[in-house]
Amino acid sequence: MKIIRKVRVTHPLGLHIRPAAELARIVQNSKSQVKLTYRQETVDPRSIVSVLTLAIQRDSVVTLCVEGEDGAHVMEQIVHTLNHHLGAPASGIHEVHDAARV
Amino acid sequence: MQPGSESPCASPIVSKERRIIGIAIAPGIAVGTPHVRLGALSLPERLSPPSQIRQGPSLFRVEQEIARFRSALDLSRRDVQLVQNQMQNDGVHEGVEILDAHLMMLRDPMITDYIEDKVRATQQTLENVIHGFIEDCQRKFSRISDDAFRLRLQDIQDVINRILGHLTSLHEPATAGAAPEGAILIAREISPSLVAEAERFHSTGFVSFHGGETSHAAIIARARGLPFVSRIELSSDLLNGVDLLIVDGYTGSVILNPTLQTLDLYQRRAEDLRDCLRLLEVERMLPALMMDGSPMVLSANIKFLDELENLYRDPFEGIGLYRSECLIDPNLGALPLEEQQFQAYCQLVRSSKQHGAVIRVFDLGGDKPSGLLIDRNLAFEANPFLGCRGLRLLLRYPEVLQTQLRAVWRASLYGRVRLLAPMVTSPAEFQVFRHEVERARRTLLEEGFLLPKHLELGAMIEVPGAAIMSRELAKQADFLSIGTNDLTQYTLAVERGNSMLADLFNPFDPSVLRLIQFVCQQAQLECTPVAVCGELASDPKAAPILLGLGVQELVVSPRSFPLLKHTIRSLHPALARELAVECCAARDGDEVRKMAAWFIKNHCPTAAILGA
Repeated sequence: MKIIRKVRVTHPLGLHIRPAAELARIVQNSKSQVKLTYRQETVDPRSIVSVLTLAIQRDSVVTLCVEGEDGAHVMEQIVHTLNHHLGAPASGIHEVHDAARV
Repeated sequence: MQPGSESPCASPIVSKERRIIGIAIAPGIAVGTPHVRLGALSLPERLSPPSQIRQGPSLFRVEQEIARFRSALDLSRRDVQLVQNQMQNDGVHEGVEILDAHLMMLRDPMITDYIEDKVRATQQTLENVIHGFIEDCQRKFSRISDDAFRLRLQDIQDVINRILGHLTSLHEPATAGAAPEGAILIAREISPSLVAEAERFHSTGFVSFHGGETSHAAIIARARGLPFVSRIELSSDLLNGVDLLIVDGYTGSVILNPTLQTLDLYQRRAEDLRDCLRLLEVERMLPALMMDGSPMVLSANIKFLDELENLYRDPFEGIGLYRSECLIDPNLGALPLEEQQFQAYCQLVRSSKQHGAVIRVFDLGGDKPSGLLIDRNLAFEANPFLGCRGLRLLLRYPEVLQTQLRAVWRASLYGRVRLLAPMVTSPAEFQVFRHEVERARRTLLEEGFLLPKHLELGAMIEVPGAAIMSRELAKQADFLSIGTNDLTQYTLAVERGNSMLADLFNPFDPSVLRLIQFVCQQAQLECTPVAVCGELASDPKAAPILLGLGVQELVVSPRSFPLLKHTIRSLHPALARELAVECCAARDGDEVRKMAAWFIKNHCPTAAILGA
């Protein structure tokens, strides 16, 4: 299964070292192929350095492509873990949800 | 370059004490001999072997280089793990996390595979390939305009340096260049590893040319309690003949060749400080109660959302001020969208727990860049501080205000949110603000959003006129927040940034204190709580006066939590009230300062020692 999603990075410092390390860890522990695309450059988020060299600043939108048996779970983890890292404030990636809308 | 080795020949020069001021990025005091590392970015020199691998069948040489690389990687990983374990034991969590990222980089195929492939493909020496890699990274990062990201290059460089260090020591085992015991490390830039492994390098303090508070090196230094002063250019000329220096991480100064008296003073101070810090650590987790048990609210003054990370170490009572204009990125060319603001405010609300967060609507104009509210008339204001700024400016742009109010209303569903209006001048102006808030609620309801019934609104008291009308404002507002910086500026008619008038700008001036006293009295009549934000609130010397005047909440930078908590805990409200009355009756600001210093020295000696 292949899942593609666009995600906005909302951390004030962008996708910097700590969220990048978190992201790398998730991908390394998964059975899926993950690709991150930003400004026409595609990297394997397994590599923290290549994610860093993309210099993804705050409010940029990145495209995540996850392919593999645990794909859905990995995608959820990427969004979720980064969202709740250290109890929210350090979140690196944020999806736009709005529970208030009826 | 090793100025240390030059010092013996400079012996005829009588060394004179010299004090250089930089910026303090990690508190503490260290006395020691200088250990200088002035290489470009502290990268070891490119090694002597020529670029091509010398003689022998090249395949064999290449495999040898790769084996060398792998063992250096192994050793580097082992080091980092060792330091990390030690930090884990010491409870330095920030350091553990940063080193975690370093470990991941040491396993990163982008570094490991890339370098091995490159060695195979080009048949160059390992050192040259690694240097090429670093230059590559530098080139990539130099295109980035964002400072925060350029800082991250430091971490990559740090990891690479570690590998290079092991490569060199594989050549010649004892070249670590170990500093003498208790040395002060001086470098253009100081890497996180150097701080993390301070013991191994025998460093007790750090001085660097560049680097700020947010660098990882600074974070680790603060977590480990090692003093670090930055923005000091200690050239080898300056260090010539210097064999002792003091790093004062409280005032941000470095003293070269201190005299005996200075040395004595600092050594005693260092001992006192150690005792005091131990005391602060004990009280850190206790509530901010005064001697008689009456509580004081100590809340956080936040500029950037990433500061929230650091808040969890201290118990705090919510976020007393979030300066929402910091969400505006002047490079972006657009104000943050409703959705972006909503996400940011939700983050804020979630981390402030049950105590809630105070969001101040965009405070632009005056000394702050007017951001994107570009009004051609604004540029021609003869006197921007008396011009269109704060709430006045925002009310001229109802669409901008509405977007922000919508985001705040929506976020208020997720926790307690209070809204603060900056630079309110009159009750009528605040009334208009309230109408705008109501309007935002009505449109959201029409669109089908679920919203709480009520949003607490506060007015900032920064203008003397607003202070004088505080009774009326207190009637309309749910809380008042006094901004001492602007209130002082407008009361004394002294611009804060004007260096000619620097000695006139004194928030301790009795006129300012009397205004605060008046505001507290008026607000009390309406049962409206009063908070103080601004620099005065973070000053432990001011705390007893403010509490004595009737202020119920201090909004301070999270860094000041431990010291202020200690100050509050050693205060008796009756004595504070007495002090406040005396201060209001003083002749001038200097007299008040003296009284405040005396009070702190007698009632809270620890705070006095810690530089209050």
